[in-house]
Amino acid sequence: MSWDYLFIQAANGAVIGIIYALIAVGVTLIFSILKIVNFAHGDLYMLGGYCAYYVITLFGVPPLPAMFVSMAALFTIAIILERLLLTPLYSDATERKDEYGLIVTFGLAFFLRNIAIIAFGPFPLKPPSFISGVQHFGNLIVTNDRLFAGSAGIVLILALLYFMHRTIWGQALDAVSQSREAAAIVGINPRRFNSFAFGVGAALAAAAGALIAPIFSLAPDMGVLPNIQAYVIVILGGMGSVLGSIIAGIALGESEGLFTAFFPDPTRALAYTNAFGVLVLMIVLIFRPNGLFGRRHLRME
Amino acid sequence: MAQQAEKGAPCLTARELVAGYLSGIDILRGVSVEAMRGEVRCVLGPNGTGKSTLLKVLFGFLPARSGDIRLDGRALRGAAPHEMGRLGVAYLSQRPSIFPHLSVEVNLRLGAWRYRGERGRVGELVGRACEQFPILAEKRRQAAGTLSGGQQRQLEIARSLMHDPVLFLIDEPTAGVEPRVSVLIYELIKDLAAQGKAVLLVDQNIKRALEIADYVYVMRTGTVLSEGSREVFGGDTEALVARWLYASGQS
Repeated sequence: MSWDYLFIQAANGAVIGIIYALIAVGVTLIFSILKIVNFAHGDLYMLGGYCAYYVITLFGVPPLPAMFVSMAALFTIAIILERLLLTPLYSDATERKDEYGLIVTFGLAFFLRNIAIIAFGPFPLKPPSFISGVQHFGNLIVTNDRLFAGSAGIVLILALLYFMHRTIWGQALDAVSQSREAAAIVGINPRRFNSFAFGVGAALAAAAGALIAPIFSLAPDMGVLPNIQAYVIVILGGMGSVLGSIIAGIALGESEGLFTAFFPDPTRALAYTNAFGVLVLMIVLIFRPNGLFGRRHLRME
Repeated sequence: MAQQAEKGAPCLTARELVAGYLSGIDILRGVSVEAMRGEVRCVLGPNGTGKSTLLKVLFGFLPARSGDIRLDGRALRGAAPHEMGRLGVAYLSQRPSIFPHLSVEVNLRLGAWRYRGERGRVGELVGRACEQFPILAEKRRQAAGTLSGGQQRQLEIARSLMHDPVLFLIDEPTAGVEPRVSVLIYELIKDLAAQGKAVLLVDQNIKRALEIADYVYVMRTGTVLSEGSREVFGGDTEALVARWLYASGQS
């Protein structure tokens, strides 16, 4: 194993980690407000990728604006899905809301995946590059698309952190996650934030899908692994901690990349990548049962 | 203030409230209470009689199955909790309803959520709250969860005053608070009434509550067993306690 290979794996790991973080932070946001783990989040990421693809290929929009269109579209779609499928769970008629929420999002995941096969076909599609070409760093070669995905992902994460900590809407979102009752007392309608959180989470996943598409291409089942990875990351970072899932996302991507580099049999390394992620999770949970940055969380009311 | 001029005018009237958490089980079985401007009215009674539930129903956290709630003649029943601030009702729950992981300042800013579009107004309200409760100004940057129980109560009261409410629903304000601080909290409640607010106070601490109450309701298993002004009960606390114990024996 050469140093070059190690660096390439580290660079790839970082990009994948940032994409993971973008997906996972949405799952966290949704969990912290709705107290539901969204197992359809990877499928929203898939839809986001396809949406950007069709905006580019059908309307000739350049990739970057197409990503923003896709984010807006998924924001809207997610709000509709939330209103249709999850809002009814919050009515007084429903008991065992958490369990139903879990089943609903599982069902939604299968539904979206199969709709995608019908609508987009089973074959991989690849949109044009954001920026074509490669960059040379000494002996290392990194494609511009990876660099772009990594930097755009970082910008989006920073924008989210700014939104959460510096704007009244972000603070209100945080407030609802800490206490729905207290939020209502100050005049915030907590139910509006259910939809809002779902929309913001989906928009971030859509961005991740649009950014990853030119690198790995699109397929209807591309959301299956991210669904699991995102869940691993959210637990790793601590349920409900936005910063935790960002850090855990990047750490998981990076450790997967390096694991592949260090695995003795390179031909089989990739097959074990996901198992490695779960191994990391188990080790962390032994020492920190609340994850890396866990806040004490409240159950769904 | 105009409110002081109207002292003694009925502000809240709740009639024959029936409510419960599970279908078929009524926690409130026809409760009627009133609150007057400039008065502290206290709801006493043993555990499990529905005192806290009454406040939850009044604030819209639990829908009433039947009965009527009016604030200054306007129907209040059916309004959601997040609309109550705008309608003039404040609720101090048993555990201070603050956002523990957000700073004191952000907590105050969120208290002015209604005015979120008007930057100047939010700043002004936060400034006024800090003036009124200097401890909050001092701890502005600290996470609200790190404040002491009494300070959290002050934060909560400061926040609720931003809506300029006419009615305060207060649930066990000194539960789990050290005695020195609870004296301060009862002072704050007395001040609210002195400012012309109507206060409906649910309390276990009967001695303290009777000291500041103008009128008392004694509840038993979902109904008001007896009621009267402080003079009626005040001289006869022991009789009240006896009746209370009798009531718990019944439930």
